[in-house]
Amino acid sequence: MISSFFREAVIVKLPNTFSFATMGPFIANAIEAQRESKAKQIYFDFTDLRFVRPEGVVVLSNTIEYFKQANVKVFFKAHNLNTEANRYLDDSGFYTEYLHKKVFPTSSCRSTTMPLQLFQADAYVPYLYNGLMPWISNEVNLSKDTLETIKTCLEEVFHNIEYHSGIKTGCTLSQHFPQQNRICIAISDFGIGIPTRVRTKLPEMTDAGAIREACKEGFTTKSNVLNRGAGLPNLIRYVAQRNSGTVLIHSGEGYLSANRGPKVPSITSRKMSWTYPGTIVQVVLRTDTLEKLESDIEPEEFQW
Amino acid sequence: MVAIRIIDHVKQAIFNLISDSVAHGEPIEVSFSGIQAVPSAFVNAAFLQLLETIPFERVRRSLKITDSTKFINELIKRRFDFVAGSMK
Repeated sequence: MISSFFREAVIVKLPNTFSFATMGPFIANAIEAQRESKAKQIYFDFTDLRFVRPEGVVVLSNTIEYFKQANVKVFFKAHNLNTEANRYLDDSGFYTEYLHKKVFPTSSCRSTTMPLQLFQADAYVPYLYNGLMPWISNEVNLSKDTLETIKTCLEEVFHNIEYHSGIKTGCTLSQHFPQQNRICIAISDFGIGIPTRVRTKLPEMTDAGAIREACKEGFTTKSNVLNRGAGLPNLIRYVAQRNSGTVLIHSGEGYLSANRGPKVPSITSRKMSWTYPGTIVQVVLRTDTLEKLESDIEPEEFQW
Repeated sequence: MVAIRIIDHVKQAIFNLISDSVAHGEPIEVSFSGIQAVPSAFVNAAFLQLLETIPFERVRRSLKITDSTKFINELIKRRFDFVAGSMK
């Protein structure tokens, strides 16, 4: 999977299918190979790649940003093979982001894809308000007002990157799967990660335990007055219970999934065999239940 | 150059506008007219911060929320219930 040539560079092959399930060995191999060789150049070899999931594009971008931060130059190999995976990467803006040009002349962004976007952690608002939400609104044919609660939930993820990641940039991509009635929104940063942040308060906590703790109402590292441990629980509660969607979080060696439960979200967390450099949050929305969220923005008298 | 985001200061501005009145037990109304939903950070900065110096009962008596939605109401109540409960 890994080879090296003339010391200065290592080559890491992408797997046949690049998804949340298969990205682990790729990231682990890439980071380990570069660390061991101290190479200043790394080649991502796309020869075997045939299918990329939306979160795979974000992970790939995140990994490149990780190496850029470590002053390691990333190059691509066999990225011009005319495969479904390479066409999707091209259509989703991945190659334009990193090569500053399209690979295939016929490539263009698919209407069902909100392309790869690198954003400044403290300047996500224009992207969320003027890019992502209008795109979702158009895809599901619902007004922006109806989706206002979803916007605030997604804002919790961006807010976490801004205040907790310790990094200034993140990346995101969204994909609509009309036949499955799903929209997958993947948002990632290559910052310090949730476990490291949680351990500033709970030093003994494992990575999986730390993510679970961060998703509990009231857990906070109190980095400022805005943060009082409500963001992730708010996101999970609303997406799982109101939308019957799913929230997946991977940070360090920890992994958490949240789905609809009888009264409260059903949350499971576990240790992974590899480390994600930073944090990736996937919000999978059910598009066939979004309409009912309109009732949540109806006027209601407030009573303590 | 220092970047100032207006959106960050709106939350704090609301806290600044209401905190004196609430501290003195005077009634004050906050209207959400035209707003359908807010993130938790907004509730934390604008309202939850009051509990650092003012008892929950006084906040409850003074602060009136109007023109709000089911989503906003649930978020405010849940956050106050949790924070006030954990302070007991």
